[in-house]
Amino acid sequence: MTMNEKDKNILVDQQFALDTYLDSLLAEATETKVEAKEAVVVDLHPAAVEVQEEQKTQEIQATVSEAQVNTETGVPEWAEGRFQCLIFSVSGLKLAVPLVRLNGILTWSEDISPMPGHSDHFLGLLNNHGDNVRIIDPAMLVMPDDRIPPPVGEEGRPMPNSIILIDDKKWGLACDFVSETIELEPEEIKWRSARGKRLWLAGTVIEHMCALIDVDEFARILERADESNA
Amino acid sequence: MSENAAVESQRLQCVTFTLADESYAINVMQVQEVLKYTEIAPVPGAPNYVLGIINLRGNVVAVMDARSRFGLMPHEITDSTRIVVIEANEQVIGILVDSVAEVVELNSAEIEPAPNVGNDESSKYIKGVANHQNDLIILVDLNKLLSEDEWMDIAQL
Repeated sequence: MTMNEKDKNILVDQQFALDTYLDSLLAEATETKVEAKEAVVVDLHPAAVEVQEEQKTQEIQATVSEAQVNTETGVPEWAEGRFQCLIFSVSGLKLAVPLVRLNGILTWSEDISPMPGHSDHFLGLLNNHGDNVRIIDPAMLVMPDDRIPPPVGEEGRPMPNSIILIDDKKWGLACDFVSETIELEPEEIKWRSARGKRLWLAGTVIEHMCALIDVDEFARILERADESNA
Repeated sequence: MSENAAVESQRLQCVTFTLADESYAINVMQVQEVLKYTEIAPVPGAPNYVLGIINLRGNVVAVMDARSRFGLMPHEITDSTRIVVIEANEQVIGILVDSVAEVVELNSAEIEPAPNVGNDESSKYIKGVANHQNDLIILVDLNKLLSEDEWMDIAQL
């Protein structure tokens, strides 16, 4: 009984820490959104006092610039309409990937061959129908610096259960469990317009308290690490 | 024979050994002999990757711990432990491995470049990977196993 309560407390603490992290991600997304809105208001404001013809020109310009913002600030093309996402959990953090960018799910295998001298986030290679999939631990890349968990299978961290295949099955993301598939409207997501530090973060889904991954960008980050070390 | 055909038929004979249940391969031409584990005499002041020296028919050979070089946890000496005597960078050294498996013939076409995922400097010795009989083999470039300075340090032992 006492043990259960203790475990519960630890779990609550961990969940609290993760909630705080997600909150900070959400806050960042909201702030950038507000900034973007203000920028548009500033652009439009002088137009309001100008003659109608000029106003029209301004409006057209504003629409054009807004459209650019949308592409530049990374509402990905797959999120232009309603889309489906798969939610999975990595070290207590809920992450979502759009189904259109998902190449498959594998169950965790003991056959992963670790490679010596590689960084902590690279777990090794797995032979999947003749192709070597590079398996990574996303927690090492997406968690904040002060909350990076111990390596998988060490210091009480359980072994992953599944592997999410992305980028034409080149990469496999090790995860604790796959929970559900959800449908989302683009409006349900707090899009992260300025991708400063976390380029992989497309946005956050408040209702599900999860971070939506921009899979293409995530794969690019992994590839860049690959090339820069070649 | 066309040049293409020659390239296709290029085969590499390798000696495979294991470390922490993973298979590694080295060019058979660089392997001089494989010894059962024998007492290794520690050398004071030797670099940490050098376990010590052995006397091989009157010649002093430095022995390196492959596990420690590859960043793996140390392992106890067993009946399968072997010292692979190799020649690289015009030097003869021994490498301590968990076991030596076999000589395999790999087709150059089945060798893929190693994934460079956040590698550190010390992993430049991984030449590539190959799928052989449902097993992944990591190819090691013995000449890059140590840096220039480290090869010189070994030469001075």
